[in-house]
Amino acid sequence: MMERYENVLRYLGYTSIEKSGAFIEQVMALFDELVKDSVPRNIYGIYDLELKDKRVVLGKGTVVFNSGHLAGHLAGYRECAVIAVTLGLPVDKKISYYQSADMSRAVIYNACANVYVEEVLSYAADQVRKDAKAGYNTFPFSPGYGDLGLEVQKEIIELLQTEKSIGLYVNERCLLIPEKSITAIMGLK
Amino acid sequence: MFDENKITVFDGAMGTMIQKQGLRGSKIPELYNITEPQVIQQIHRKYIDAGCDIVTTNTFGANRYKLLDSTYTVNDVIGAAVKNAKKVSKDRKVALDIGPVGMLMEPSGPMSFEQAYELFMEQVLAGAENKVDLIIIETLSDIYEAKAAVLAAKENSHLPVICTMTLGHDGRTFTGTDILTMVNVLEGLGVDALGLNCSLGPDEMYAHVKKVLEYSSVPVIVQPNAGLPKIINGQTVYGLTAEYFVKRVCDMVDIGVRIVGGCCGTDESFIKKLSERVKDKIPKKIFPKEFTMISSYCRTVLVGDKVTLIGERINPTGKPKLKKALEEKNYTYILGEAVKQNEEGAEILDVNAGLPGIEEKTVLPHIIRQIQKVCDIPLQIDSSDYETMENAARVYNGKAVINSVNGKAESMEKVFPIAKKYGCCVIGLTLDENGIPKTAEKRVEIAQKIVSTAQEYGIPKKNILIDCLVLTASAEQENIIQTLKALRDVKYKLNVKTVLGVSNVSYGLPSRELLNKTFFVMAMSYGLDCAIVNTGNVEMMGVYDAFNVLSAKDLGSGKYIKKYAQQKAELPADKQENQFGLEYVLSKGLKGSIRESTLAELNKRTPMQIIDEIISPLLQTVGKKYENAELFLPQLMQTAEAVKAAFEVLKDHMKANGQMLKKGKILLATVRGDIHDIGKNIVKVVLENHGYEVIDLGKDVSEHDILKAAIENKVRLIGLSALMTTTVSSMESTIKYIKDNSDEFVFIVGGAVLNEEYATMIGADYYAKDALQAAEIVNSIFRE
Repeated sequence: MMERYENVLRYLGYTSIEKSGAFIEQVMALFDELVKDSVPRNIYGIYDLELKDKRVVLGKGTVVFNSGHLAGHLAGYRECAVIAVTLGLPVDKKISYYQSADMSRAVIYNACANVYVEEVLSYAADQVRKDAKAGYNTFPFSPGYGDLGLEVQKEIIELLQTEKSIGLYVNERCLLIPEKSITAIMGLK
Repeated sequence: MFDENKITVFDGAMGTMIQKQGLRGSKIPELYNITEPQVIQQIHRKYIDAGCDIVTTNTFGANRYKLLDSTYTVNDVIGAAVKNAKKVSKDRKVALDIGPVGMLMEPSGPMSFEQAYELFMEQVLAGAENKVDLIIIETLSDIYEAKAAVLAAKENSHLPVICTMTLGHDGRTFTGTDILTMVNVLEGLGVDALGLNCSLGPDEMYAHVKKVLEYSSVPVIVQPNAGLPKIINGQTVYGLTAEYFVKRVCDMVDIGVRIVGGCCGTDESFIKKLSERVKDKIPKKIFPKEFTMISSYCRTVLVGDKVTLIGERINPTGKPKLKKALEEKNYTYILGEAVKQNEEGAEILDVNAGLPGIEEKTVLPHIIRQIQKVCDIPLQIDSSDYETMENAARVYNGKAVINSVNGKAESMEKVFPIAKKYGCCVIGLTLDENGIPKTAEKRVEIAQKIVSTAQEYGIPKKNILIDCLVLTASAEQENIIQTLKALRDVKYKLNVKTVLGVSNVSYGLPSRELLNKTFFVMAMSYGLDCAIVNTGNVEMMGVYDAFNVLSAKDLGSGKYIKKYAQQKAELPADKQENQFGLEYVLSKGLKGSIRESTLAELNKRTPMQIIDEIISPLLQTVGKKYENAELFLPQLMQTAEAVKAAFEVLKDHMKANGQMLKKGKILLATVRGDIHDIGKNIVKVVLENHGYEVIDLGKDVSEHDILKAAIENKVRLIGLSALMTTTVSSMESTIKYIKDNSDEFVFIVGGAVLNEEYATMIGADYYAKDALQAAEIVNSIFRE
């Protein structure tokens, strides 16, 4: 619980940990509310992996990512998972709501959502590893890191059919909707 | 439609079977109806041989949006699909399958309710023309889209309609709709059966189905997947055997499910076993459920547990500020009132836009849409204009209450068809052609007439709430008790829920609050179910909270203790009796005391003095502390909200004295394609704190709209926000577009991926790293 709290504070730009009981209580109450509002969903696919120079080839050509950083990240792995997670639309709506009701709560709730969506991702990553009976995995590498552009969001959404499976869409500027969503690629062995 | 004495069996998956037949690669499997009719017929035949009662056409995605890139029309595809099914169906019924459009609905996505309706309408018309026997709308996750589809089906055909939604483990859809809400809305819309399909296997679905059965008065259908899906190298696989699947579906039949079938991963072997196993099962009888439920898209109020509070403040009568907001189309103010009432504890909001000079029939639906964008509180449509009522009931996302019908024949003739069609609850006023009866007995008679007439329209008793009408104690003192007696009889003899607008009672007498709250307590003791009140009134809320303790509704007095123990603690002991200094109240963000403290300060200083001597220095101190990392964003925003509230009081005061606060205007927008706007809104509140008028265009705003608004509002300074690398290009094109049109505009930009250099590169005049810097820049610009 304290870890959650500290992560939220980090998102809010805190350089030291606010120890006042009332503030901790407020943050944790908003976190609980966020968890209730969320409809967390995840989906993943497991693919054979081939690395050719700066090209990352999945499932014997089902999809290709051109990214030297991703290729470097996955070096030494023969298999990978493509994962998408989302907290769902109710969280977006609540963020809008709080921006009308109280900006202070809005920024805290928003930070809670950032922390929680990462928790949901790491939970999904654990699931994937167990599912694939893999001993090791890399950390999940997301579009926007290094030279892996946001443009690949469209390919990932298509690959995992996330619109139908978890209600995750991408707009024309490659932003994910719902807002609190992450996609990632993770090496497995 | 369905044989009451047996379980009805649908077929299994279409997609799974198409893949098994070796057809792969098409993005639109519905086109196989035309290109591979034998294969589709073969699939139908397999299911029929397996013993299903109803075959479903291969038309899940046969809508205009999904067929956009193909050379076929909706009519072509559905015509061929129905032909394929009918060719082999023998005596089995053929259901037109309709899935979700495949586009997100507003406000999160681009599809409006009307667009969704039109797409579904084309499918329904094509199905009806080709003589399908029924329509199954399936795998929906957005209840609003479901409403559009069901309405399209019912308005454009006379066919029976089934609707299923798809839930996650948590019992909610992607968009947050829970089971109670789903049942309440779909049943209200008059579907012939409702239920669950896809996403989950029968194991995971069992508990959810049980809950659906508890609330549904119509037959329930289940079509689970053959377990949970897994994707391996692009192939989706499902784990359950037919044997296990059928066993678990039969468990659901045993608790009351009437219609069964399979979704993804099931094939003819599943359906064969299923139809054999349910053949001799006798369906459980369905009892009508008596719950009065009012829903938004994800929140349902169950009336009757305790007194439900209906917020009354979105009603221009006697409210000059709201009146002005309506006239000026200032929906931000109205939205603020909605959010405030929700915060205060209202459970339903009454929404009224009846004002001379306002086109109510378009304004009320618009307000409802705006409120539903940010707030999930269920709404009460308050209008005496029938067209307005219908327009509002149509666009409302959920199951609303209509306020109101009365015992006049004309009123019932107009209102009940609307309530029936859109599945609304409706408030019935106990008055008729002869006015409001004096005696309780006569009012109960009218109530009885309203209830029985509603039933003739097919509206069940549970959807009626009776208002026995409060008259003023000043004019009709003897009458007050008649209202209460009538209320009691309506509730306990007619078994109908009751509602009252409480504050009418005190008109024309001094100390109105005292009368209102006393009457409120009396009404609650007589059995009131819903009260239309001002939830901002501390005294009324106080007696409500106390009543809930004393009538054992607030168990363990938990809510009461939380609310009232905290109130004292907010203030330090030595200050509790005294007036607070405004500075203290603002710096602590004590929202409850701001109004009082600001008014007190206005006795000592002018508004401008308050701004210069209290607010500005405070903002400076807070800003400095923020920069030195002595306080952080939540505290900064807390002070900002407090200052904003103080500004409201100051502005009201100045306006009353014919003064205006004019420090300059700035326009803010998040650029096209960008949906993240919290950063922009932080800037907005900080700028307002500095006295600027902010014209906020919201998020995902086109360059054209920004230019237009800037010209209309005579603003020169434009603040733009973009969060991602992909949307900074929108920012660049926006600046270019506007500067190409005119060189009189000045741009400040901000956002996570920007910096000074990048900002210059895209043509901005200023870059602000955060809200405080933005305020400094704006200050310096206006100083010049």
